[in-house]
Amino acid sequence: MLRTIIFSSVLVSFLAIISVNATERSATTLSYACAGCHGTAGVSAGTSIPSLAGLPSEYFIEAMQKFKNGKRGATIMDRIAKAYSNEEIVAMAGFFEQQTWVAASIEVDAEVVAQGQTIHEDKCARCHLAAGKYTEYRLPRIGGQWADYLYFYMKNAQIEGFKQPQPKLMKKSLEGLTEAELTALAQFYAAQ
Amino acid sequence: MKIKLIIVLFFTILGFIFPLASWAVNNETDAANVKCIECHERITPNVVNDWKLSHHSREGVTCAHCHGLDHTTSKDSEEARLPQPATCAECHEKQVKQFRSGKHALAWTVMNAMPTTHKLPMALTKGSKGCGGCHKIGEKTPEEVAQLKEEGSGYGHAACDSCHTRHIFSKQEARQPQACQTCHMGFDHPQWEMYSTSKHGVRALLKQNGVLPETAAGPTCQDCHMQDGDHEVRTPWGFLAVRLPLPEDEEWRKDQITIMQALGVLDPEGNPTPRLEVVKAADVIRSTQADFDKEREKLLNACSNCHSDKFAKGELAKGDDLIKKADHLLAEAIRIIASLYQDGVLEKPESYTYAFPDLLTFHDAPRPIEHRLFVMHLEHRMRTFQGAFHNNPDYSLWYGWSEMVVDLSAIKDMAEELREKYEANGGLAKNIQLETTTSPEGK
Ligand code: HEC
Ligand code: HEC
Repeated sequence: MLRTIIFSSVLVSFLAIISVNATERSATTLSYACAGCHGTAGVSAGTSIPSLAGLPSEYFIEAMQKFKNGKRGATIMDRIAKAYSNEEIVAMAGFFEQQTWVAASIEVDAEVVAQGQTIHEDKCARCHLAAGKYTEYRLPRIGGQWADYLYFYMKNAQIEGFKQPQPKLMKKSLEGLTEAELTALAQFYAAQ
Repeated sequence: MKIKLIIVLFFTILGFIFPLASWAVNNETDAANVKCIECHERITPNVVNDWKLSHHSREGVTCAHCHGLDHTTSKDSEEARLPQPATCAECHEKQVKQFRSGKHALAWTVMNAMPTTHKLPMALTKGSKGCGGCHKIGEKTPEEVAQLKEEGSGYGHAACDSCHTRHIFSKQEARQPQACQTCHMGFDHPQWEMYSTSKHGVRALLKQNGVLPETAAGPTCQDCHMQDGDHEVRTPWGFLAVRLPLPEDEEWRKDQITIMQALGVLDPEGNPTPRLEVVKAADVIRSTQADFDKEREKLLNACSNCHSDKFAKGELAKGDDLIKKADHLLAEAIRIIASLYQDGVLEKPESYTYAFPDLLTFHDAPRPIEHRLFVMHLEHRMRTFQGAFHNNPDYSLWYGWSEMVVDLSAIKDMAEELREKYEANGGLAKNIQLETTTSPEGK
């Protein structure tokens, strides 16, 4: 009797593990190629390389497509993205979406963070809700993202003609922000 | 054997539930992890699909931007914020500002200013099944919205979605004449019927279905009333076709005064009433010549895309003249009924401020003769002049003017009958039986 119970529950757990592995294997394997920079489960260790864990798949797919088609300026991702088929991108999107977000851990200056918060509330909060932590569909999470990555993204976004995806209103919001202000914003978000 | 099987099944089920349960807990612990789409793709798939097709979704404007982050489970749907123009203004400041300076923004206030509104069943007013269904386009204060919810009106308190329907909020949709069709049709303002069967509308619709090339002329409602996408919608004559200053023509002046008395904005002696202030505040009438001229100029500007100034001015002047002539018919009808009150043939109803017919009581007017007057005013006078301005000859003549003439003669007959009864009853108004008077054919 007891043997049967133990056996059946072990069997069930075992089957569950196998079935999970079977569907995720290809995506997991694909993601190994990204791990060097973006971390094993999408939590990157470098301050200028973005974490991918928990990114909505719609955002992920679009970002990869844009890198691939030269619609998003990049230092490296444009070349990497070209190596993947649409199916592979979709599979990886599913994998990274399932991963748990771990916020960046960096040293920040409380005063600078407070400055960043003021600018955020004035110009960015209407879209980047919950201190930038909110993410859904094509809106990426920026609260807890690495500061240097955010800084470069914003800096590039200010350059006329640089292909940095952003809504019109975001472009307007970023207009005229100084390097110090961008640093403050980056620190504020990273501290979330 | 049976027991064993049950136990095996129990653990099998447990094996499935456990990972699911822990997943749910993980998701709920992070407020920033609200996943609206995941649920709503199942519960209201077309809402999500519509939104995915919208410009909003492309720009990263998601559920939470308009509805807030407080509603996260099926049990707290009350927490979802329902947007008001102020919500839209967070991004569309210019359009909301324009909207607020036009008549649409005041539609809710105007509806509430009508005495009849407060006599109708809630479903027909605040519940969107009648007046409220269209007048919802007007802006409401947060207090008004809170009260609406308390009164059980439920949903439908947003405004901008009257033209940019949920959840696709398409600019393209709102630019089509059909965007206006739901409200500007039917009994009191059949602009859709007039316009769509006029040559203006016919050409615009033929452009839509591809018979005429896209670049051909064929004005939409918006081309004249929302030029360059200006959300400030206003017209020279306004809804009621009364205005200040009064016309210089002596007869027309008297007629407009009579109509304003019946609208309750002037008292029977011709002095302004509190209702005039309400009507002015709600921007229902143009109260200066400059205000009228500005709106007229705007329209002439639209006409000039196709017509010479002389032609356009001449056509609009014909519309003005029809108002003058229609006013004369209506004023005569009003005076006939007013004299019934004056002579004691009709008793002043308790709900009336003055012993004078009140056009704004609509169908709640006390007697069939006044119902007929209401129809003459709101249905037939409207058609006469709106038909002229919208270039629909049939509406101006057969559904408008011609009906007004018939109304007037019916009102004359009904008045005579009332007087005869009054005299037969030895001068006692209250003995006049309501059922015996002829009832109006209209609505
Ligand atoms: C050599 C390091 C490196 C590798 C390997 C790498 N990435 Fe990246 N990734 C970056 C950098 C750096 C950026 C920032 C954009 C840029 O400058 O190219 C980035 C950006 C991204 C972004 C955009 C994130 C955002 O928030 O917008 C996505 C998505 C992404 N990478 C996916 C991947 C995937 C998937 C792989 C593996 C197939 C991968 N990356 C491999 C360095 C790398
Ligand atoms: C109209 C809404 C809106 C506003 C306002 C806005 N953003 Fe964004 N932001 C977005 C969207 C949408 C994206 C994703 C763009 C894409 O990839 O298409 C984004 C992307 C970003 C990114 C890149 C994130 C990543 O993972 O690659 C940063 C950084 C950012 N925003 C910062 C800001 C800052 C700082 C402000 C205020 C100065 C701001 N945004 C204002 C909507 C907005």
